[in-house]
Amino acid sequence: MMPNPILTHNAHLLCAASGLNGLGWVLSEQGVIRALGHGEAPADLLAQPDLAKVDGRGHHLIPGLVDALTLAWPWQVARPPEDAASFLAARQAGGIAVAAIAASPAQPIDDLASLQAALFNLPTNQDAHSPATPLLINLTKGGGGQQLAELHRLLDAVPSGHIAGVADLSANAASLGLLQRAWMQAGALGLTVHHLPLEASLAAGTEAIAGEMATRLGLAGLWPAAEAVTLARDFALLAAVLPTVPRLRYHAALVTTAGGVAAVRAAKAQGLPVTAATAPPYFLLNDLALSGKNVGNNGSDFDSAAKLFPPLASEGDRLAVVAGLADGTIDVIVSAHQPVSLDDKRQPFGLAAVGISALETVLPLSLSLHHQHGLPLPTLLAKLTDAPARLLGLNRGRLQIGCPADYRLLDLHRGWQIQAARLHSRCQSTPFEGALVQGVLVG
Amino acid sequence: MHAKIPPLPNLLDCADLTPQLVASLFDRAQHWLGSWGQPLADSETSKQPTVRPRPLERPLAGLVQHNLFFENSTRTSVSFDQAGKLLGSSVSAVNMAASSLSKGESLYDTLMTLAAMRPQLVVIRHAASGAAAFAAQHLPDVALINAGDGRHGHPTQALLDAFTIQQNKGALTNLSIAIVGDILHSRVARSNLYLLQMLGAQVRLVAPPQLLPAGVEQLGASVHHDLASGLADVDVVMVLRMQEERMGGSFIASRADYFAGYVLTHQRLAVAKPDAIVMHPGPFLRDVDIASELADDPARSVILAQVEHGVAIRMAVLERCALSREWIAP
Repeated sequence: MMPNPILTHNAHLLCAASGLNGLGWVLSEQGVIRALGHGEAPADLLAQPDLAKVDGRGHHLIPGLVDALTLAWPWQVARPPEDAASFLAARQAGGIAVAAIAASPAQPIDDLASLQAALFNLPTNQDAHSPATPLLINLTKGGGGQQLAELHRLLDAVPSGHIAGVADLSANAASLGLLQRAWMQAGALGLTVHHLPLEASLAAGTEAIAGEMATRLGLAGLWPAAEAVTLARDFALLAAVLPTVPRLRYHAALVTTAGGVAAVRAAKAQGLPVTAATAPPYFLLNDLALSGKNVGNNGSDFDSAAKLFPPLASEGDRLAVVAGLADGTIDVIVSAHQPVSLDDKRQPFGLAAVGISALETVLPLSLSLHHQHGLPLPTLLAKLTDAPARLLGLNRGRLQIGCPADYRLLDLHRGWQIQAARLHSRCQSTPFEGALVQGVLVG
Repeated sequence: MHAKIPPLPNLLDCADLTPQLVASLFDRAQHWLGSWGQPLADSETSKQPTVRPRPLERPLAGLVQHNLFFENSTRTSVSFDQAGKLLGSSVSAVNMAASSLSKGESLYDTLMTLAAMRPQLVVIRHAASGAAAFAAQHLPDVALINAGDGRHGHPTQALLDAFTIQQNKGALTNLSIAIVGDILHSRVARSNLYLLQMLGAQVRLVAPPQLLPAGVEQLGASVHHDLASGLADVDVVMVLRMQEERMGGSFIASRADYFAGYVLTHQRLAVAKPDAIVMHPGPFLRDVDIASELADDPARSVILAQVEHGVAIRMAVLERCALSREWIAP
């Protein structure tokens, strides 16, 4: 954060929320945007001799990204696959200003001790009004779906903004009865429910999407309809409880299949308060990546870097996710960064941990939607900035006077190659090893 | 005249094989068959013991072979052990299920530790699909032979099955072969599906729908949910074991219920060709996957021949891998 005033000019300002899309300038001071505009910077600013100036010629100036889903727990004590320093370095390298951390079965945030551990071991959360690492806390104890979490006590314990929603992101284990009560509770408190739409009994023990690839490799397959079936149930429940708790909001944390995209599209058409997210593997890869032959890995079958949850689906599913991003069915792109240790990935596929280092690749991989599929840049950028900020209830991800000056300069066209060994994150497992991408942050 | 036989540095998967390689392996298996054990009476022609040649050659003498069984096994483990010893290799057979992995060591570290003892041949069985490919990736200088990885592959079983069919039926071209039972959890089914089709046979899979993996039709098999249609006019019936230990949830109502629908009996076999043979990779469950009297019927069952052929096939595979690595002279 630069305390002194700084003028960035001659850059292409890009912000869907503010309607900015053209040459312009931004003046910031004390880490806050003080003034901005289209066109040339005002002559009086340019004339100030001791005002620091950055010439953004040839570059886009974009808001800092808001990542609505990471599964990193950098406060773990014993040899975490990501520590606070590497987490922050990776975020900075990836252009991510705000990254939500979600509770998980391995690291629940369901009582005061776990909440405080999460909050106060992260240096970025010292600013009480604008936390850079908001939390998605458990809806049920341990995410186990057996008992309600103490949401009132947890909300009372921290300033508003630190808790950005509730999420049980294991394949959701709750019975329908408990889910109904938990959602009513969350809705009454104005909390958005982030749900991974995979019913636990369908997802348990699976290693890949069911289909020819999983069958050929002998991997336990997840029924491809599991996501759509779970969403259909979730939306029926949502519609039924909404009259009682009209503030309830539902967010599908990761949508990965054609059936899932269609279900979200139908729910939105029905007028339900629903948002949905996906992550780059689901719009760039399909289950052929398990063979490691997609992006020039070692070329052998069983590439554990491609072991993700939800699992990579078929090419038809991938194309449906791209279409869902283009038509607005999918609102948000998340990194779904889930760091794991080398030991946990260096295993036969069936035993390897699910996870991916994604903070540093989410922006360039997403830009391929623009470069290769022609998605308009403002639309794409909104899914990485404004939409996730709204989802998390934060005044971030915009170029606006009074907002944090977390903007970055982007060279949209410059190419580079993703190399896991050069990532700042301690987790260096990515199914995109060797992939060529465009888009480099230059400031 | 002899075309060059493609190399076989590892055998991880039936996709490592070609029809030409299979033919050469069968030739060598035929060569080794009968080269060990007590002389047996020729059952038809005379009661006199047939003298069998003893193996004078020990082509793998001086090579070190580790058999790493991370999953319990009797027949495959003993079969590889015997095959290696007959060929003269120095075999260490380790039941890893009771060893360091249970002490928390990762597979990677166990492999690295054993690799430091410099084996040339490593036979691996593991409960995780992809374990053999994983081992091969980390031990590039070792000839790796997959003795079964999860649900993925069991290539020497497929080879010994195809060899047994060839011994009984001649060439596999245009034979109709039904694989019956728990296809979902079966590495034997996957490897056989690949190899039998490569050798020209037509394969049918016969199982209740919940025991068939998704997309299996795309691998070339025709699928049947009942024995009556699945066994009609087939030349060979391969029965699989019900792998209850891999069934976390409820896949079948009960053994008795499965018996009612799918157990193979003489009566159900009547729709097959009159000379159809019955196979089972073992261990078989009498009166669950195969009727006891059918398993014991010498006119139909070739189950014990499969076991004997297994040793000969594994000798051929060990020898071929060592040749391909140029550790022994042709």
